[in-house]
Amino acid sequence: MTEAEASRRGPGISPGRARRLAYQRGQRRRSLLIGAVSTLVVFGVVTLVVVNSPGWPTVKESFFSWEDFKASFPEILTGFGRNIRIFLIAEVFILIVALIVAIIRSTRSPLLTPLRLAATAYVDLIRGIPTIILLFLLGFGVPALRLQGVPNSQEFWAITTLVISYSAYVAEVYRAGIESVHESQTAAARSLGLSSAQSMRWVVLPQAVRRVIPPLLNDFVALQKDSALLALLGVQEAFRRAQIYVAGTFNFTAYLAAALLFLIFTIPLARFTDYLIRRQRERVAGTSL
Amino acid sequence: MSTALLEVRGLWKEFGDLTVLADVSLSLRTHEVMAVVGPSGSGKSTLLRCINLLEPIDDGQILLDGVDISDPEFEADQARRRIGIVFQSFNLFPHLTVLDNITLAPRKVLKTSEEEAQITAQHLLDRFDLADKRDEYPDRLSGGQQQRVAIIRALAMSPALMLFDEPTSALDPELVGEVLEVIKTLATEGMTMIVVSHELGFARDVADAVLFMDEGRVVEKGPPDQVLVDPTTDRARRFLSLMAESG
Repeated sequence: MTEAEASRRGPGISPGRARRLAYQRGQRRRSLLIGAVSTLVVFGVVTLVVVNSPGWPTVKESFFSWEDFKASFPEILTGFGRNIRIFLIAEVFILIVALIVAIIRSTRSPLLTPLRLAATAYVDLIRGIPTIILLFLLGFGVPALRLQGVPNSQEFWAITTLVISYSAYVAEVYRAGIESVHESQTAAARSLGLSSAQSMRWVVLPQAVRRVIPPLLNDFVALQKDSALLALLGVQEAFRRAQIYVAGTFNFTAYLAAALLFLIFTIPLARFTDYLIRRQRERVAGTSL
Repeated sequence: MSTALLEVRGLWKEFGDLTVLADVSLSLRTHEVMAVVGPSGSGKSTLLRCINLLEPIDDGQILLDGVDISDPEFEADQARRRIGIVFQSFNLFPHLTVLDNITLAPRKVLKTSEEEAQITAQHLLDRFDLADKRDEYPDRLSGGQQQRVAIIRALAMSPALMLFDEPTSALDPELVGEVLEVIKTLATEGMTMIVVSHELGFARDVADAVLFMDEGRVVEKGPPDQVLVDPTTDRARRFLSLMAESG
């Protein structure tokens, strides 16, 4: 409590209030202390157990070798640039494809029935197939057809797989957002003469997208990690580079280096998502209606 | 003008097995104000939603300027832009500022230029004392201010007819007056309106005609001094004495 706060309540602090403040301060100190001690104990014990295990010297040598870390890092970093590029390209397409699928699934126009059925089938099918199988089917299967004019670069099919796979999930996120906008908003828009497409575009979608930004970001954290699956097609990204290093040296530190790079990228994204969710909750709580 | 602006003939509306509107007819001339009163669940709100074509009707006709707008072949958006509606819960667009709430429909539906739409909006905001709220978002406004913005949003389309669906029911008592004042102003300026309201005193003041509804039927219809003071049916008398007790 600052001087200014105290003076707002008039001259001096009443004895009752002083007692409450002292009690609250004590409580805060206590929880801080308990938190610090329990953290130290837990991590201390874990460290002790690991370091004293019989295999630790070998593990330390093959997973935590500073020499190998330094040696493998530049290669892996170059590879990680590729992960980011793949992630960014895939993300743009996912956002567009998923939105189209979500809108198709949300309309009730009878004219769009065949499209709606196709969109539903797509979402059901793709969400049921493991991404890794889809990756093999598209990444090895389509180029093997040797079709005229169809690109057979591994990276192209890898990105296509990610787009096809993630769009199904992201479409459902969008759709949840669209359905969370109360129908009275559509009624208000239609009553002003807006067509159903105009109501969707100018009234429903802007509100829906704003609401689903946190879950969308959550999916992108997952997408960023899944870009490592591309190693299986031979794309030279971070994990693939680490694999190559490991194959040559039998030292696993390179995997750790790759993991570290993913973490540096995904942790801030995850924190940012949490921040947005918290802010949204506060905004909703602050709205009277 | 002798012909009716709005004419509803034998309107039926059912939700499943439930008959919400049974053979409702009414007629409204330009500059006329009609108040619709009755107990909750009597179909008053549904009547307005049907007139605005937000609900498809099951039988009957709704004529606007002699044209059957309830005809399934008729382009509903054409009719809606001529009929403004103000909802009980305001239904402002929360992601848009007050100004954008008002200019959205003129810009997208009437293809008015942005400047022109803003001039009209500014003019209306000035008139109803909301000029300083122009760039606020709806959640920063009081209920009364939100409802006044909703009225302006409907007026910006220059409707031939305004519908009010219990415009003050969701408001704190001290905010009711400012909204009724706006509706009263519109009445004196000759706006044609149908107002569903529980404010019987207000209905007596502004309405040229009162429609008393119960269980989806028109029970009584006539000038306010007759329907609201000396009703002929038992049902209406009971309702009025209940309202007098509570309020």
